[in-house]
Amino acid sequence: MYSIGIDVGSAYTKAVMLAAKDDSIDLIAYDVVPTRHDMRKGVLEVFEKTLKKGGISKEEVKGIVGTGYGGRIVQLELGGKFVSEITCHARGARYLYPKCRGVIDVGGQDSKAIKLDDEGRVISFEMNDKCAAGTGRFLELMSMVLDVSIDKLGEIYLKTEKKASITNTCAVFAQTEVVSLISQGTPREEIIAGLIDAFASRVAGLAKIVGLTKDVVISGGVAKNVGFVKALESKLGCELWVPKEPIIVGALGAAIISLKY
Amino acid sequence: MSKELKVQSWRPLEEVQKLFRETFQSHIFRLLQLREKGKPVGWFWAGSPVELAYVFDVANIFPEQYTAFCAARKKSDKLIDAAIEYQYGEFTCDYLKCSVGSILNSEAAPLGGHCGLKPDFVLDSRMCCYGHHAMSEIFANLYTEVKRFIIDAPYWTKEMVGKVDFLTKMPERISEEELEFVIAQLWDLMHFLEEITGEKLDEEHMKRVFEVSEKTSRNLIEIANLMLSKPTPMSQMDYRDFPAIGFFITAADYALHFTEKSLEIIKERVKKKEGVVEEEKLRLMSQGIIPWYSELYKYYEERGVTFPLNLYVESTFYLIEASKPLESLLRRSMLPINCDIDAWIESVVRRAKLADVDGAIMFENIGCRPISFGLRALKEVLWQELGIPSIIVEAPQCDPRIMPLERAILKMNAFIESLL
Repeated sequence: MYSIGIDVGSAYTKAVMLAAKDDSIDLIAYDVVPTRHDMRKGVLEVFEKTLKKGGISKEEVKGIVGTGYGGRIVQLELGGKFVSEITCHARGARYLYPKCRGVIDVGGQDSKAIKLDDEGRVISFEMNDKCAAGTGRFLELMSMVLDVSIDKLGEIYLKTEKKASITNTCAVFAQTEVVSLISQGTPREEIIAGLIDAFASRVAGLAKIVGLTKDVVISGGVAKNVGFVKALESKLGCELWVPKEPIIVGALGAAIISLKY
Repeated sequence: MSKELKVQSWRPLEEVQKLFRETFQSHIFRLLQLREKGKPVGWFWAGSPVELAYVFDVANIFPEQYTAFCAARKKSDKLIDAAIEYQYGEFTCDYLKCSVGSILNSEAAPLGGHCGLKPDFVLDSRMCCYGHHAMSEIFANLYTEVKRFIIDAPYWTKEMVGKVDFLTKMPERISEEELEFVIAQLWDLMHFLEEITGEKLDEEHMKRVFEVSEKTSRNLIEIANLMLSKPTPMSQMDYRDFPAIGFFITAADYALHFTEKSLEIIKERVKKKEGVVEEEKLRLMSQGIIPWYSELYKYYEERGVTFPLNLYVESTFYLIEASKPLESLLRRSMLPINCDIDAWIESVVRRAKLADVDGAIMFENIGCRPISFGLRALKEVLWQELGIPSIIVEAPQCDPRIMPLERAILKMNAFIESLL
């Protein structure tokens, strides 16, 4: 039996195809496309691409679950169910790391910390408020202001000892601070290190509210930023488990849930 | 395993809605009649001694209730913008912005802005929240020649009052000094009203007013207790009209009529074991001022999630005792935001046990900071003492633009999934 989970986020639309046989579940294919203004097109594109990669037809898919901000579009276009991304991230993380007791997901538009019980059920969670300070958008904005590729930010953080002090309360204020620091001649590396530190503080705050102390998975595109992960580990005092493809954890969880429907 | 809540047939109490519309019309009719008779117009706040408006037959306007009315009809954005253009901060009290906005941009204000009735006096109250005092000062400045009477009550600490029942607002104790402090001011206020109206206090009339208020208040308390029944008998979309009665017009005959009829209808539902939906899947507690413009409650009720306990609505109810009118007025200041948080949380725990709720949804009102202060402490206590999980959702009470509905639904859906 094949199932597909589609996670429509603010920046990317992700799909994961699973095959279930007896007690085993195999990941067959996945794909990621940018989320478009017309979310419907992105959903159909990622669905078609995943089907093609998996080498199966639409009719062979028995379960579909949509999640994320545009998860309802999945339901409208392809049928199936809608499940919140909190539940999907929890399920996806638990599949990859059966002992995990917490998930930190840092996406393009929001970040969340999720606490799980022994059985992997969500027992508590927190999301960032509307400000972009604790989200991937923060890093995008800052990489533009500093004229550094977003992929390089993490490495620069790891190599820099001194960090500029930057507020973690608001992305717009932080941008103003960065411009001010540049004009004061603060080295770019120190500003980057300060920004990542501020970003990690913001996300660590969420994790602390729900009480994540160990066995924590980090998901979302920002988990590929090695500097951010290091900074966050240091603030939480624990090692974070980083999946090979952290951006598809929500879609993976959705696909697992769709096997049950 | 994730479960999905199926949409069910939703059963609001249309008769109660109709009765409320009639009550509201009666109130407007009273205001216009009094104005025609040349009676003065007074602006009053929640938590202030509102019965006295009926004792002295003044036209009673309630800026907060009016702004909730505007927000519920999705007419608050232009009022808020007018206040912000006038340099009031975006995150100041929503009621302040809407009220001031209705004066600054009266063309955008429904019902001609407070029924077109400018105040002859403002009852400036510090009995509930400091914001009321600030707003009174602003109104007195915007409308020149408006008289202002300031009334104050202590901030009630646990040492002063012991345990408080926040449904009836009955404290365990209250000292003579504190009673005297407020009651002396109430007498001064009555002298002020005598001066404004040109009429002496009619003690017989006062007695009748408080008798009506007592009956209304007892009905409201009974309704709040009936709401805890299984299944939850009434929709929050109906219940959200009740604060207008409890806070402001308990002393009106039309309010008594509304509560008597509503009580009968609700009792009948409870007797028949009929709920707002056929199959109640989850029972939740709700805290925080209702985001008036939103239909979130309806969305969840249709899916079998009911709300037997609404702490905000209950905070607007009081037990008024006709035999102790002035003491009853003092107790109008015993709102959760004017009392020690510990005393409030104790009372909430007792109610949550009675309601047998599965979880709690708390609205963090961006447009009312004082009411949001205790949420995290309450969340912690509910979890530690009762094992009841909670979710906090940002929700300004009057400005839908600051509350993306999809985001709130996403959080609430995830929370509900975790409860199933």
